[in-house]
Amino acid sequence: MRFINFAWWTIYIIIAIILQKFVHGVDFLLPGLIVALQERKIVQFLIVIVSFILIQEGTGTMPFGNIFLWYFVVIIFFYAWQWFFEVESFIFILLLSIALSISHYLIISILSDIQDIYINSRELQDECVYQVFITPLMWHLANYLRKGIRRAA
Amino acid sequence: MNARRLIVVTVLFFLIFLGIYTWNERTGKMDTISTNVGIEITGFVLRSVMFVQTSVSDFWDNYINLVNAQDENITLKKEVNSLKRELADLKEDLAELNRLRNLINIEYRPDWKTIGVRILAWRLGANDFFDSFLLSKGFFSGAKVGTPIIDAKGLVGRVLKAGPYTSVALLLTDSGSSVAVISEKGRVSGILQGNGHNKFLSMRFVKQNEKISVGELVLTSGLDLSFPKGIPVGKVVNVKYGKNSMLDIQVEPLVVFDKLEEVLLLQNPFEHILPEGSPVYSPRPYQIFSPTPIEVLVDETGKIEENKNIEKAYKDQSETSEPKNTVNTDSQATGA
Repeated sequence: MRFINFAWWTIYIIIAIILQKFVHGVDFLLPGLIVALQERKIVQFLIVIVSFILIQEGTGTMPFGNIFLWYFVVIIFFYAWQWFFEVESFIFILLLSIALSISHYLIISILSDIQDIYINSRELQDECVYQVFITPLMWHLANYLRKGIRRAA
Repeated sequence: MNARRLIVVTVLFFLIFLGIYTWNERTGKMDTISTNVGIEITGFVLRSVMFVQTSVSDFWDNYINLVNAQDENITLKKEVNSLKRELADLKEDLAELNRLRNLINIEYRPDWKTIGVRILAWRLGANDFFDSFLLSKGFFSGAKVGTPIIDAKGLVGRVLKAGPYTSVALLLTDSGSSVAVISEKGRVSGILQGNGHNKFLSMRFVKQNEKISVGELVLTSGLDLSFPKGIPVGKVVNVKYGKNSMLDIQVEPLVVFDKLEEVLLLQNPFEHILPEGSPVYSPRPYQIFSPTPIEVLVDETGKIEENKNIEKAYKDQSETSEPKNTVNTDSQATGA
């Protein structure tokens, strides 16, 4: 099971990186992070979040901190949202995705201002909108495959 | 998780974030770790994908899709012949240029080596807001921070961050990019700044009484000590009067960024003998290291004979401000 789990996350990361090549500015690792949060396995979650932060921060051009902050906002929102919705429902993910996209926009705008970096806010808005639609779809696919693998194992 | 616990976790995390953020601002350690780890994972994945992709397409092109090979062969042979003639003419021009350089004793541009590199991806992930792309070579293979990047048409940009085998390039068009340039005919100097993807570049700090015309080529001047002199950058497309007695000049880049697949990294031939923080562009070694006799540093063909001597010469020069020996360098320096 451990090997299958490791293989699953490795393949997920590879697919997410390839998809990121084709859709600029969208985080395809984020749905995986939500899946890891839903499973509530602390060691697995820590390994996943550290790997995802290193990948996104390393590949990005902004100074370290943006994705680090955003992923922790994901955790906070996830636990706050679960008081109102069933965590595996599609509406939960959709609303979470909207809230996360808005928070991403705010984090990048504030930190780029602090770091004195000019960013194209129109482009950022567009990418946040793509993120709203892509996160639930990718999460749905990842969740479905993950459940299938767990059942098979 | 109850509400109180969530608030405590949020506050605690925010404090941790502020600590890591300010520590990284001072030391840059987290940037280094994430660059060396994250960029390499991404680079490895994309390089593997590209390898599979090119292997399949090469197999198709070389063994299956040979319909137009004969026609293409004839066309290429004609092109080779035409290029051979052009090369012969250029060799003549080069020989003449070298003779003239020797006559007026002018400083020559050292031979910068080029390394071919593939573009793996454009703006990758949710943390990439610069006009940039990912390159398939890192600091182990010549892509250091600041390394100039060109293609056959002209200047592309420079390396922004580098991991061991993968790096990120900042394009000329990014709003954070500045290059010292000079116009080809009027020799008007200025700073060329990017305005974002698919937008014209702005040439700044050019006085209104300077002569620069539409269609004129703009080249790197080498004054920013980041790029070698004379790389074509763009063409002037618009000149008008701006604020503060300056001209408002728009320049169209020569490189078509959207069609780039491979680029070249320029390698400074004397980088290894320069101290930290030195210019990327450098003059001839004997002009930098005047205390040491020329014959120790450069042989008849202009090749460096012994790097250790050069390093020693630099050390000697930095230890004392008084020159120990001035072997015939004055006349050459004034000639340059």
